[in-house]
Amino acid sequence: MEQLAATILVVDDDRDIVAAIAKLLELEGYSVVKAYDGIDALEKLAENDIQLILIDVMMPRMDGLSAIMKIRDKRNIPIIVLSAKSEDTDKILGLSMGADDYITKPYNPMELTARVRSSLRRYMQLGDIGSINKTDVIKIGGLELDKSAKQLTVDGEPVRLTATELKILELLMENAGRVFSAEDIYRRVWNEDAYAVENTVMVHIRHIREKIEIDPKEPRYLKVVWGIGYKIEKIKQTIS
Amino acid sequence: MDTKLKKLSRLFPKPAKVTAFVLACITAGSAIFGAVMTREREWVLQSDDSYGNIETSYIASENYRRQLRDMYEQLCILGVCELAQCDDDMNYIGNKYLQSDFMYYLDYNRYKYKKTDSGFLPVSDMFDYYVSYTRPVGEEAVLDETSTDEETTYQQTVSHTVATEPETLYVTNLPADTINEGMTEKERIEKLKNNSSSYILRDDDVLSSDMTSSGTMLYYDYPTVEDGHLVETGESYPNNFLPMGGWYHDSYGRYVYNFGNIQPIKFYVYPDNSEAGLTARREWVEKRIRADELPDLSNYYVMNDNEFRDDGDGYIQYSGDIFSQPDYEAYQGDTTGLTVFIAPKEGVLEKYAEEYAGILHQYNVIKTFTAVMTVLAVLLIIYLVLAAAVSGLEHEEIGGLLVHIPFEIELIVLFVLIGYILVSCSNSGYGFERKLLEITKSTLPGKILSFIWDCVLAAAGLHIGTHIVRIIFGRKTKQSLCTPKLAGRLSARYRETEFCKSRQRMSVGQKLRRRTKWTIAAAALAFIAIVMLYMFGYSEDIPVAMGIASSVVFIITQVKNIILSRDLSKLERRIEALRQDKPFDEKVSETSDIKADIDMLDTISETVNEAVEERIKSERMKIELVANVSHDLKTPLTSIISYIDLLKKSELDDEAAAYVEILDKKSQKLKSIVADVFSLAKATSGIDVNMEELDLIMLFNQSLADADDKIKQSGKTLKVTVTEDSAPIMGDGAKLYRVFQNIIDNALKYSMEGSRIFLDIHKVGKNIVFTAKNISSYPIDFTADEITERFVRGDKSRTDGGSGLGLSIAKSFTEACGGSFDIELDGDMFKASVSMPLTEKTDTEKEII
Repeated sequence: MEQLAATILVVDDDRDIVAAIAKLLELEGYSVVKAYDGIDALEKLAENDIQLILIDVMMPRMDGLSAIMKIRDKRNIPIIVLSAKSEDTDKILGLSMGADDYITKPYNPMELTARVRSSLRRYMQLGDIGSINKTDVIKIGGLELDKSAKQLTVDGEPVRLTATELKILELLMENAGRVFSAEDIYRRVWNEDAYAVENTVMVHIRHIREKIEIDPKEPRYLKVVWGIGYKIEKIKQTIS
Repeated sequence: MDTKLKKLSRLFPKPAKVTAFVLACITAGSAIFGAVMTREREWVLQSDDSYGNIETSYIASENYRRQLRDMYEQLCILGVCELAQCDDDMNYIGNKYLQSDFMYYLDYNRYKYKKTDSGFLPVSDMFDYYVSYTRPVGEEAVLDETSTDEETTYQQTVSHTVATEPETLYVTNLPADTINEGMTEKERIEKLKNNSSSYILRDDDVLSSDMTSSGTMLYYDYPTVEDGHLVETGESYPNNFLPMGGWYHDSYGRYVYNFGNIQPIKFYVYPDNSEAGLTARREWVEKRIRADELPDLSNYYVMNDNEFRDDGDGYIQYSGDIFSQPDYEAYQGDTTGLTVFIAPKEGVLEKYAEEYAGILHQYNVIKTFTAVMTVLAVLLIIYLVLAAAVSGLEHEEIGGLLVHIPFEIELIVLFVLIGYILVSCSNSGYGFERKLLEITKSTLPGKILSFIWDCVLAAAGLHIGTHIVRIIFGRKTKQSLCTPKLAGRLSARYRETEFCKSRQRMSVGQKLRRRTKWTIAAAALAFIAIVMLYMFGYSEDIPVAMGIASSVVFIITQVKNIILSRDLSKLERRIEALRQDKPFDEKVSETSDIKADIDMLDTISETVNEAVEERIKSERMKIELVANVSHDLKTPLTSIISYIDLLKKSELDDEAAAYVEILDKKSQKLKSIVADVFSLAKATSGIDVNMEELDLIMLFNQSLADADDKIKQSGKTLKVTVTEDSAPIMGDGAKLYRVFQNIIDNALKYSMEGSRIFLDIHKVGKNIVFTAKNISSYPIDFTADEITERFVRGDKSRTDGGSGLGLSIAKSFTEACGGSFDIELDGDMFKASVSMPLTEKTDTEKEII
């Protein structure tokens, strides 16, 4: 896996956490700039060439959300919120303020590095995204499905899917936001009458999730709508 | 306009108005009083004065006629009932009961008479009288040509010898020197005639009089015989013979005596102790009366109208028209033997005529006085009405004693007053003045009282009348029964009363019970009325009054019930609104039966709302607290996890690595506990639940598929039974997923190695129920309640990754979604069940399918 060299700004009022994250990221090969509150972060951002920001929400002087708004006025770099607030509302608020991703504390270090990597990749390949403008390419967030080539990339990284998985994903991505029941999916993908197919479909969904999601338990794209069906979340192109 | 009004109002200065009012009261009172007095005299006079001659006018007056008629009747009774049944020595030998009945009749009519051995002697200050009865000569003279032997037997109860000479018995109040025994009947009458100028004479069934007494002064209804039947006719002298005091006999063996100077009275007499009479009586009574009630009729002798009567005051009543019986026949008796002479005493006529003239004079004076007073009163009243009209236009407010009385009541009182005054002045004889005059016998105090009364009447009428005029002309708003202000005030005053309050305190049930009692009472009253009417033959008045009363009560209670039923549906809607926590804006009247209940519900609703708000607030605070606490826990935990991770990545010796591994595990567990505690706190508070329609079967399948890996790893077998194709419910999918996940996890974790786990979904009534059964791998030493308590695990010593909150979360989440969660323990069998209400829509859909 190629590693992108990048400078990451880590902002948290808890110095230990900042130190730990810095160590973690340095182990991954990134260079890290540390800040301990919003204002500090803005200063550090001005002083350094930063490619990604990891920022806490609750901080003295200036909180994370205000800082994000300020940053978004000038910069387009990926911002990942790192917060102990795990409520959906908190996540929605953070994302709508301009964050690209939201990681709840206590985070899984593996997951953290994965998300950082994924965000960076998307950011770095910004130029390419614009150029790939073919009609049979469906893009949803970091997902990119080339229908003619039967190729899926997640944050620019190709993912290998079986034919069935690809069909399911294609169906869901083409109708992003729409909920399909297991029967619907089965009928359209397998072209057979559906009977007690929940398990079959669910297994495929799980496999897809394992391949495309950083944390399959908290999927960003492929979601189970419990008791109703499955869908791919309709995500706006946040990086534009 | 204003100046005109001022000019106008100058015409009516206050002193003038007051004077006019007082004068109007007096004049109007005088007019009323005068009218009453006039009527009183008119009633006495009963005639106009067209005769010119006072004496003649008096003779024509009703007063004189009445006296004459009374006298005449007494003399007729005396003649046919007394004299006709006396022996030659003037001893009464007739039916004594008949005599006593006649006496009773005289008493009843307040006739003055003196009792004598033979019977009675009428007493009169006004008239001289002579009455005689000449017994017919021989039987032929008595018998009707058509009569049979049988009838002859009944015909006379007086047994007298058949005289060859006519025997005349007479009674008179004239001095003995005027007439005497030696004269013949004809001579006596001639003598009497010559003595008087205004006489009435009945002789040979012919009524004659002097010229001045002619006319219709003696008029009677009397029965006459036509085709063998008594027929009621009305004839007046001299067109037909006057049968007053006449008698008849009929085929039932009765004698009928006919009297009554206005309404004829008939006495029926059965011949005493006559066998045929007894038989006839018995026959008659047997037709009318049931055999077992038949009395011994030998003692019954007189039948007056519809009654038999015995001397022990016993009556047998019978009804039925005897005249319509087929065997009924009546025969006219002979009254030619009766001679009656009446003439005013000497000087009496002059005296009474003088009195009469006095009354007539008074009458004329009063009449004139009344007319003058009436004119004056009308003028004064017109002045007052105009003054009132101007005053009404002029003044903003109209005060006075009558301010608080509703307009309608004023009007009604005025009309009643006017009506009363008109009736008083009319000829009908009603009115308080008449009564006053009657009681006080027209003495001066009585007249004064009566006059004052009339003035008061006039004053009241005038006051109310002018008040009304002021209101009408001033177009002033006046309290009226129709204006809500007064009605509201009246009802407010009523509501303040203790009576109303005690009524209001009663529950609807109590009120209804009371009302039902009234209804039953009304029905009972109506029933009694019907029984009285039809079974006991009461006269109609009382039963009808009872029926009306019961109807009124019935209608009132039923109308109240209708209102109550309407109010009760309001109450239902109020309860429904309370249930759905919606606002209730329907108005309930203050006097409504359910007012108290509605108020109570309002209070309850407020209390509940307050409590709910309080709870939500405290739940919010709890969540905030938990959120803060969990944040405070998460931050150090983040550091711990981060550094453990870094430690893992650094070079460590084996022992240290093992320690780090333990730290890693424990920190992960801590992480999951913190997350679970937070979500549990949220679920318990019931906030953050996103209800949507979903399919529980699908959700279950999804959960099962999701847990596929775990199930395979566990090596346990799942027996899944799903009887329904779909189970639409309202719920929070993510939360219910956690419920299934936790239950399945729990079953996998704690079931015995190699045992089977039964998962089952079926419909129970309107609910869909999911159950999970497994055999516990550890002895169950806890209760069903304990297991859903937080942090309780079946095996207390076991330390795995679980937070111990799994089933608590399942329970909380189920309940947050409106379902119920139960744990059943049976030996080592562990059974968890989740029941969710199905949405109703599916039922109908299924029915359609």
